[in-house]
Formats: sequence, structure tokens, C-alpha cells
Amino acid sequence: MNIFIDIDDPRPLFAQLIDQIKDAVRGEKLGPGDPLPSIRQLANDLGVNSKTVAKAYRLLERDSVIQTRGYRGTFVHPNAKTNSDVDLNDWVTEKLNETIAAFRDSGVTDSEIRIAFNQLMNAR
Amino acid sequence: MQENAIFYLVFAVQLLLLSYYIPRLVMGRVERTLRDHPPETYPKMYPLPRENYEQGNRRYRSMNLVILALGIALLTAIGIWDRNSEGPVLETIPVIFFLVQMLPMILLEVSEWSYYRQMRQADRKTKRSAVLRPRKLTDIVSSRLLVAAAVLIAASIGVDLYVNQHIPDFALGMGKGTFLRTVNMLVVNALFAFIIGWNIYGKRLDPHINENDRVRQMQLTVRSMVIMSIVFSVFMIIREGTDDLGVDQYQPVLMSIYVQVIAYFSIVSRLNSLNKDPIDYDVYKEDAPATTQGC
Repeated sequence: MNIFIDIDDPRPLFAQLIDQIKDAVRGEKLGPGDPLPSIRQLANDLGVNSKTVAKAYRLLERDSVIQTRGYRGTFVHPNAKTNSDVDLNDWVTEKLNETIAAFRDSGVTDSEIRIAFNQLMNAR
Repeated sequence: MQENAIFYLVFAVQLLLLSYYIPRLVMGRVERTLRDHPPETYPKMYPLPRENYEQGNRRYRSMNLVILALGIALLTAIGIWDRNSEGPVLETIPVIFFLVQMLPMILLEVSEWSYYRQMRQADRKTKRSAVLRPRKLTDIVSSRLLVAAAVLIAASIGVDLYVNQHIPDFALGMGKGTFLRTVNMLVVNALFAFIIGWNIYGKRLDPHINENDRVRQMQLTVRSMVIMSIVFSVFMIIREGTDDLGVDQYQPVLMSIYVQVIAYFSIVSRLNSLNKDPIDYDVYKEDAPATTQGC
């Protein structure tokens, strides 16, 4: 199968790659154990920086959609289809919404939430 | 001397093959492409005006004609020298002249790099695609050919060791000559391996080329590299054999045949294959759909 990227698309390139690989897994164009091209090959074929492809692969590996087996290469994860439906971004948004709502109910102002959030993130 | 007479014949063939036949093939291909696939219909294939390519073709022809004339003069000079002296022709003459003959081709390769760079710079499409499948060496070239190349590398080192075993040890149990030839063999094959790796995993030079054509070109290049490695090993084995059998006066002939075989497999067979089965030129049309570009 082919993978496409659009430089004019407002979504980052790595996100376009992630979405298409997940779509391919969901649509069973990619099955468990199917090999994927190396970071270098895909980056050179698409004419993008290898860091972009590496980032997409890293996030897909974090989501257990793909797995790297050392020098043998990168493959589709055995539970990729189930894991492709899990969207950590949606989960983060949902959790943050719940937390912000709880703070507001307690009378915390938006600027106090922002300052506290920034302080926590900067401290990490 | 019989070996010199054979050398004249073989060297004349080298002159004709590298400075007449191959340039004719290359120029014919450029002229045919310009005629059958003109810039007006296939603008994406020509980042520069038509005159630039026609001028480049003329320059390439002139260089080859000058080199052919030089070669004929050299052959005549060797003939005159041969009448007045005894002894074989210098073994290095075919190789040195081969390098001179390859100069126009090297310049052509360099200009091809610049051509692809201009093509990429002129490329305005924002959509790009790639095949989501790993490319493996054995998908590009048969494993039998790879095994044959590996076995012949080992065989050529083995033959050298066997033939020169009476020479005192220099390094790793080898004589100095064997050691240097082994290093030479490994360096040359490392260069072939680099070119193969770069072709399979390297940057896409032509941003428009159809993926099937790209893989076919890859196969042609990789296959010619593996065959060149095989030819190099066979040449080294025969060279050591002629040394051992005391017929080393035929080495200039052998050297000339070797460079011709290299030229044939690296250029002629590749061009013939591309002429026989042309690439998909539609991808270079102005209105070529994005889906056929590099899919």
C-alpha cells in the first residue's frame, strides 16, 4: 500500500503518517506482523526529514500499533487493530477537561490554572 | 609478437566500444527522448530549456570524438614502438586509457545529479507518496547472484593465497602483494556495496518517477554492481592464473577485455534494457494526476 503526505495540510507531517498507518491497520490493509519500511527508507522516499518519520514511529510504538524488533526491523503489533482505536490525545483532552471543570467549580480562575499548569510542565 | 597483435585488436575494440558505440547509444537515447517526449508535452522532465540538453549532447559527442582520435593516435604510436623494440605492451595502458574514455561518462553522471536537483527544485506538487513496504536487497537482486559474488570474492582471495604461498608472510599470513590485492578487493566491493545501499535506501532523485520504474532502475543498477563484482573477482583469479602459468604477457589483453566487460555491464546492458522497456513518461506531463506520481 501507499502512504501519502501533503505539505500544505495544516496537520503536522508526523500526524499525517500516524493517522494513515492507523487507518491502514483499522482497514486491514496492514495486518499483525506485516513489515514496515525503515525510518531512513520512508523518509527518503517521501523527501522528509528522518526525524519526522522517527517521531511518527515512536508514537505508534508507544500506542502499541507497531513494534521494533531490533535489527530485524519494524512490524505491525499483534494487537494493532485494537490499539489503533485508542487515541491518547482524546484521552488527555478528556481528562484535562474534567480537571479544569473541577477547578472552576472550586472557584479557581483560568489564569491560576494556566500558571499552575505551566509551572508544573516547566518543572518536569 | 603475437600477444601484441592480439592487443591491437582488443584495444581497437575497446576504443570503438567506449568512445564510439556507447556514446552513440547515449546520444541516441537523449535525441530520441527529446524527439518523442518533447518539453512542450512533458515539461516536468525538463527543468531547463531544450537547448541546454542539446548543447550537453553536442559537448558529450565532441569529447568522445577527441578521445577516439587520441586513442587511434595512441594505438599507432604503440604500433611504431612495437616495430622498433622487443617486449610486451605496458599492462596499465588499457586501464589508464579506459579512465580517459570514462571521463565524458563521469561528467554526464555529474550533470545528471545537477539535472535531478533542478527537477526537484522545480517540483511544485505538495503531495508526496511512498510505498509502505520495506525494500530488501534480495527483492532487488536474486540471492543466487549475491551468493555467487560472495563465493567469488572468497575464491579470488583463496587463489591469490594459493598461488603466492611461497612468498614470505607480510600481514595476516599473506605476502605483501596478496595483502594489497585483498585490501583492493575489499575496498572495491565495499564501494559496490555502498552504491547498492545508496540506490536501495537513498534519496529519491527523480520526484516524478513511477515507483515501478524506480524499482526497475534500482534492479538494473544493483544487478550491474553485483555482476561487476563477479567480473572483478573472475578477473583477479585469471590474472593470478596467468602469472602462475607464465603467460603474463597477455595481461594487457586481459586488462582491456576486463574494462570492456565492465563498461558493457555498467552501461550497455542497462541502456538496452531501458530502451527495450521504456519508462512511464506520462508522469512528466503537466497535468499528470498526483496518484501516478511516485506511487
